[in-house]
Amino acid sequence: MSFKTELVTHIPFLRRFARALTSDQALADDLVQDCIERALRKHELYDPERPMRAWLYTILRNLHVSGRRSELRRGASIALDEIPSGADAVPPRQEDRLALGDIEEAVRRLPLVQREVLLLVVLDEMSYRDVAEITGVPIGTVMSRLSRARSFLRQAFDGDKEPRLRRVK
Amino acid sequence: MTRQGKIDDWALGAYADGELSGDAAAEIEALLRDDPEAQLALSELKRQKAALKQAFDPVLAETIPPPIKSAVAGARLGHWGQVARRVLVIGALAAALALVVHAVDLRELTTSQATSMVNAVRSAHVVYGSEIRHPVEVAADQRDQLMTWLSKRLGQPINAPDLMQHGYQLVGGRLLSLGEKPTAYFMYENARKQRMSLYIMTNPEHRDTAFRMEEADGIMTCYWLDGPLGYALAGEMTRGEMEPIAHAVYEALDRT
Repeated sequence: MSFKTELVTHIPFLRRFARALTSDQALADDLVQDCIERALRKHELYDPERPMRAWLYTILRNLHVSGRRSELRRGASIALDEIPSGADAVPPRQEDRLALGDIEEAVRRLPLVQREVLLLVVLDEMSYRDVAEITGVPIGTVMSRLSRARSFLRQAFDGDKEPRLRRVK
Repeated sequence: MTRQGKIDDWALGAYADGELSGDAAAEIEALLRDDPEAQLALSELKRQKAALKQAFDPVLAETIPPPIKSAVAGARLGHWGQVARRVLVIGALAAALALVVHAVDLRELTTSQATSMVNAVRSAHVVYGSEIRHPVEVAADQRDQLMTWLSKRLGQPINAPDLMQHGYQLVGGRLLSLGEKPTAYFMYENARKQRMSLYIMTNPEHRDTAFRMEEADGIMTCYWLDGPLGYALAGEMTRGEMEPIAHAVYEALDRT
């Protein structure tokens, strides 16, 4: 399969990842487009021995992180861990438990570093090893971020109740 | 939110994510049978996954927006011939990266192991690194003899990697001990007479871990376990300077 042909097969997955990452369709598709353009420009950097999907996700994820960084920058540079989630990074307290079933809102409230790990592992079913490579952290860090994200979701939804689901608009 | 049962949340998550080997998964399954709380936690993980899939999978079926399509269609790719040199360089980098990832295991070092490794390499670096006349027991000009001796004492083939590419030349080595066990110590030096220490010890449990880096009092250390051996580096350098050296050591030793 040629580089381009294979690239095309990954676009739907890139779009799903970008959408879940940004919770904004226009922003997500801009990211995917930037990612595709960059991948084509830098295609000689791609190592065919490695899965292309992980490579593309690395590009998209880095574009997103640097985009969020420049958006948030106020003079000083911002450490990755300090980038807040979409709205605010305050975990829900007992009394402001999320409206039942709004998984998208719960994902949006996760800090970025936890959100990306959760999505890559759970939604994309990537191995911890691939996720470690994509996010540039050790596997132990992947696991602790994943565990925190999951416990956040568990808190956000009452464990006993079936979350009602909204479709992506 | 932590449960009282025998299965911790991380292990349960790794099980749900298909990260465990057959034996480890069977162990979790056996524990699960008598642990209703863990069963509940597992079904919660499955419910989260189903909710995420249901929320975001519809994106997969959407038509690809025209700007993305034309980004692919309009692109002209460069010729491989023109970039062959760069590909070689990048290939080497990617291989190094893959090795780093390969070095990683689900388990981390215990605190006491980590502390003893770091302390050992730091103290050896401080004591011998400042020694002018007798920094090593056996100098690099008797390299073969040094390696044979240390390999024999550690019961594992030991080899000091060539780090000339990073500007460090082997000065020599010595036999040291850590908790009554023999360990190998190698000293390297660069053109500016800056020294770096490499400590190699046996790893009877054969556990693999990721690289861990720590800095204290101006000395950076990097340590990891890999199969039968554990390694620790120490030197007066930044994280950015030590990282590529650690990768080179890992790569070189992995091939011996």
